[in-house]
Amino acid sequence: MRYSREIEVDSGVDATFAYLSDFANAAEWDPGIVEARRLTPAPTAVGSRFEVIALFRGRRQRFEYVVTDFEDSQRICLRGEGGKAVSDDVISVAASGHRTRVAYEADLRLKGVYRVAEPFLGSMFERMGDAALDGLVARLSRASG
Amino acid sequence: MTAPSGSVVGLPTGAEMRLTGEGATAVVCVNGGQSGEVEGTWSASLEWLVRRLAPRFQQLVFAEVRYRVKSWRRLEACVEDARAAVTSVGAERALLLGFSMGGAVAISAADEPSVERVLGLAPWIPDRLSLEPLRGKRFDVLHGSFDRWLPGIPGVSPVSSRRGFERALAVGAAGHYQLIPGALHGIALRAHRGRPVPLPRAAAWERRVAAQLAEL
Repeated sequence: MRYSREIEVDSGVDATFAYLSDFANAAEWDPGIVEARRLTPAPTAVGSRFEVIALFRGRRQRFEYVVTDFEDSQRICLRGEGGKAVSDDVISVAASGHRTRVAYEADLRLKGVYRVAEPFLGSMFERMGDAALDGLVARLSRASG
Repeated sequence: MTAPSGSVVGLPTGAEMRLTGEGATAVVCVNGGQSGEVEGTWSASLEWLVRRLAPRFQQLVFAEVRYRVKSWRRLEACVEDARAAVTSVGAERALLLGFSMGGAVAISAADEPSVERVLGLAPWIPDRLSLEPLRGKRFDVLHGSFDRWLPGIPGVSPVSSRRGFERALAVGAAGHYQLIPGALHGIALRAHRGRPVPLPRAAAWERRVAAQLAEL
């Protein structure tokens, strides 16, 4: 299941990237994530790890995210692995006039027997992606305002 | 990583959500409120219903919302809390169950795409509230016939919820309005920080809510 969307926020490129690349902040902007914390010390670099708890049908699912690629103030790639699913996320930021454009791509694959549920979950995945990026716009607009 | 039933999670808005059970369909429960801007609490009426119904409906996940502030002066914030709960619970489909002021909150959040139905328990539906979010959705109301029967006791009159229900039908919602004979405003009360204690006719509320959940 792929999700891709671009948004613009009012905060600057460096501040936006610094906020996003600390994936422990995800619980603040992504309503699909109920807890997130660093497993390795700051600053974020290739190999940094984060623990993320999301709910699936009301049940807590633990994901461990690892930073697989990192270009400061430009792009961060993460792979999140959970018991039932694997997610590859790419977040890119770039200046857009006085604002910052954020491109978010996610590819979520269910594991094993859960794969049969993918066709039913596609629209939910899309909605959760939209809610997350709406949350990010709200969060970063508030932070810079 | 499985949390026990009744686990509490934080929502990005700052509100909290208590989860019981698991399933592809969620029953998101939103509480009433008051004029004063006080901190949110868990609803005794909703908690009592969830405790009774969750064991019978094991294919459903129940999510009770504790608002940041439970006040109709902060209705928009309560609606944000409800929307966050609907998204966070991670269910494909949802029914919003709103008690009293929670009726207005549930109606306002009903345009979330996963919400298929709204069930109002003695719902507060002010005449100025937009019912557009209910367009094309299922909307049912249960109301105690003795709600607001005695002057001075807070509640919502069945006459006003009936008026709101008729407005909802006019914007394209479909459903039923049922009076519960002899029932008051509320299903249970909390006895000094303890477990909810059922009010008269609580079993009648439970039967009618169960009949709605059986349709999910």
